[in-house]
Amino acid sequence: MTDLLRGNFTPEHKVEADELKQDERAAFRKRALESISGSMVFVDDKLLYWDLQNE
Amino acid sequence: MNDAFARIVSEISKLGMDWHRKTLLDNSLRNSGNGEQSIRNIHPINDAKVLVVSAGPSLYRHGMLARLKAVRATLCLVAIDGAYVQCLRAGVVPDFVMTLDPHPTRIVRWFGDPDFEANSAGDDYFVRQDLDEHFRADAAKRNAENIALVNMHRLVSLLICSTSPVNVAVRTSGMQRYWFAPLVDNPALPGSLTRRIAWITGLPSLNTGGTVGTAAIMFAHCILKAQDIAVIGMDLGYTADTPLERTQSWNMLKGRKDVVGLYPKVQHPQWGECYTDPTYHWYKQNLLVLLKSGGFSITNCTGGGALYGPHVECCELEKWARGSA
Repeated sequence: MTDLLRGNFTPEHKVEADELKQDERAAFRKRALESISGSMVFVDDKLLYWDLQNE
Repeated sequence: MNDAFARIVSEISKLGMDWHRKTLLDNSLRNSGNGEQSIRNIHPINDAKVLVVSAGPSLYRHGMLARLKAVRATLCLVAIDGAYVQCLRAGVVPDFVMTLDPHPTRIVRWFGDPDFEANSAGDDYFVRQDLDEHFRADAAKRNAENIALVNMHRLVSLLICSTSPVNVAVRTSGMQRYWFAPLVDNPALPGSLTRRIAWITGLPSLNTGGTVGTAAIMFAHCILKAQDIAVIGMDLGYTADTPLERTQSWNMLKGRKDVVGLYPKVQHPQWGECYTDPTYHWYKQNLLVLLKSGGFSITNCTGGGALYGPHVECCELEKWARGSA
């Protein structure tokens, strides 16, 4: 089973995780959060107002 | 708009949701059950003109508050938190003030911050930006004056979001408050954060579009039932002479090789060239989408900036206020 999970071919080139890009992404995320800390989240673009009492 | 710019804009919403989720819930839980009124208790004004006062630099660059004072009598005013003390200083007392941002140390300054020194330490968010030039020049003195000004106007109605931080809740406790919850996702979907907050607080939910200025417009439309809504101070862009380091997105974008391309120029059809950044572009997109969804229009009397498009008419404040927009 372990062999199956490992895959059944040998890569032509050595594959390594791109740690630097991960770091860069985390750094960007941190900086972005500093920049948008004045913002609320926004996902729904159809409903302007909703009241649970009216359901 | 280049690919990198579009990619950053598309990521902002998810970043905000990931980051804010726990804060939104924690603050809503803490602020619930206070027995105060909600925005349900506010009556429609129907045929009155409603002006939303945002806090963009055009407020002082175009002397907007002095101009507003001359036409104030005929209008219902909804100021956002960042514009509130500027209005008071100009002798303009708004009918409503709105606050919604959950940030634990920044927002309370709009009401005069009793812990200003501690809350400002190591934070350049306001120092860098072009929001209130007088505040930047002598912040501590200005803050003390703001505390006194806000204390003198405790009868102004505050529209306050359940997600507000504890220092804002405490600082505004003497005001006439009307609470609401943020509409952050589709309440019909499983696991909806909006539904959970509404269930915790019992409050009605208002779409914010990501920023308090847009939330104020939604309030004017959905609660006041206003037919004629205008905005000032809603720049959503920067004048051509604004250094990049003084933009809201600078900390997010600095250090990138493609940084200049992430500040695209915008040619406003009426007010000429400015430039924008991913955050302001995101706000603008959200507002335009919500106007389309709601099937109503607003008048932009800002006099500059990047806000134009379908459902946005642009004209001078005096022209709109006198009814000939």
